[in-house]
Amino acid sequence: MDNKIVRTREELIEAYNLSEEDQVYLLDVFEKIEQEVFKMLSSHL
Amino acid sequence: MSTKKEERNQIFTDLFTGKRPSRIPVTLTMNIEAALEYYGYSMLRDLYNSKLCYEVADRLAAELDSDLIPVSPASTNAAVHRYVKNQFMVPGNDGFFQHPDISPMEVDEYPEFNKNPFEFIVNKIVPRVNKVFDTEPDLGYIRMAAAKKVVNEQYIGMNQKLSDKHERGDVSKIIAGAFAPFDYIADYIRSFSTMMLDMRRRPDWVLEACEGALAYEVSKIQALPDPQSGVFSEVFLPLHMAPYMRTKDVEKFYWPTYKKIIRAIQEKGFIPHVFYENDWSPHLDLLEDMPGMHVAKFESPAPELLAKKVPSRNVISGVYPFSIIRSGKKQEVIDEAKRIIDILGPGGNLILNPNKRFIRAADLNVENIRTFIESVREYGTY
Repeated sequence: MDNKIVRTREELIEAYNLSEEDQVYLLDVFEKIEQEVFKMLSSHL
Repeated sequence: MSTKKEERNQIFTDLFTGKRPSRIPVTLTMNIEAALEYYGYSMLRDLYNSKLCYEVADRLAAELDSDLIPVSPASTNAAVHRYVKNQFMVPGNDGFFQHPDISPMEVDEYPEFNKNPFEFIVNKIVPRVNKVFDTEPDLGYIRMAAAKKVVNEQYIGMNQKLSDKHERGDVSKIIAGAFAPFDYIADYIRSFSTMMLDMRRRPDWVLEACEGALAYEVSKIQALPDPQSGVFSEVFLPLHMAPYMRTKDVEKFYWPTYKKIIRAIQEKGFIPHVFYENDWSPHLDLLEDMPGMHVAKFESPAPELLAKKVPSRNVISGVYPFSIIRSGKKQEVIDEAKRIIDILGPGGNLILNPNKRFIRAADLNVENIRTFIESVREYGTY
């Protein structure tokens, strides 16, 4: 999982050891960042 | 534009162009964390919700009639720090972020740093400080850029919306941050404690590192977009280390490169907005040597000393004791405002602002802040 570039919510929870509090709002932000990582890395053409 | 906003903008315009304004402006410096806590929100959870950050900043602006918005919703990069696992900004058990005194560069690495500071920062410092690089060295910068973009976009336009809604001044804006080169090395490359030892053990390396950090900082300033027409664009510099140094060491190690970064900021068309943290009383004579005009916010020196030592071409800010606002009686708040205005007001170059940042709810004595603002309005009219 460590090598996966764009991670799911479940993978983010595990990778960052997110608490229940973190999963209320921070997880949403992290998910948007993952989508942005995808956009940046897929903009090569 | 509203009349109240126009009046506020005229005051700041006068101040920044060397004219005496119609009255002394009054501003506050505050973390969004303080506002969130004050309205009963959790830093562990709600600090990451940009809409809630806006909501509490809006509520506080409705309560506190300072000349600029009292708090920016965007005063936190907490989600970025968490995402990149930034070791310089680490949340405590209550969710409040602290800056640990860590040293990402060893003393024997100075020569390598001094050879090419930018490449050393990019290849060594950033990956050591942000633990996202540990598992993904090739993706670290992409993740960092993505996190900054996403978080920044969540807060875009909020400050302007609040300024318009609450009719606050918006003719001056802090558009970037910078560092005195010595502070940059102490805060981000070595550490507060090791830097003082380095200065004794390898003064030549430290001096060379300050020049390298200066070149890096100047390049960052030059890369910023040109100032927006009709707006006083400020670059904020929080100064850290000089109060812990002897004046002769400040003159040798700190001042030369600090003065050059100030000049570079001015040459780009920006106004340096400097926070002289802690007690700069022993070094105030150096201010005569500062180029041009800057906003000089002070934490500790007595107003009588500032009136004597700070050249009148500059704008003086801060000064008002935060401790009186936090725990003084109402009359003490009023009396202190009158006392400072009597000493520094005649210069016509004063912004009255508490000398420390409000960072937690315990700091927010809202009644006293209101009294402070009203006192400056009443006694600070020219």
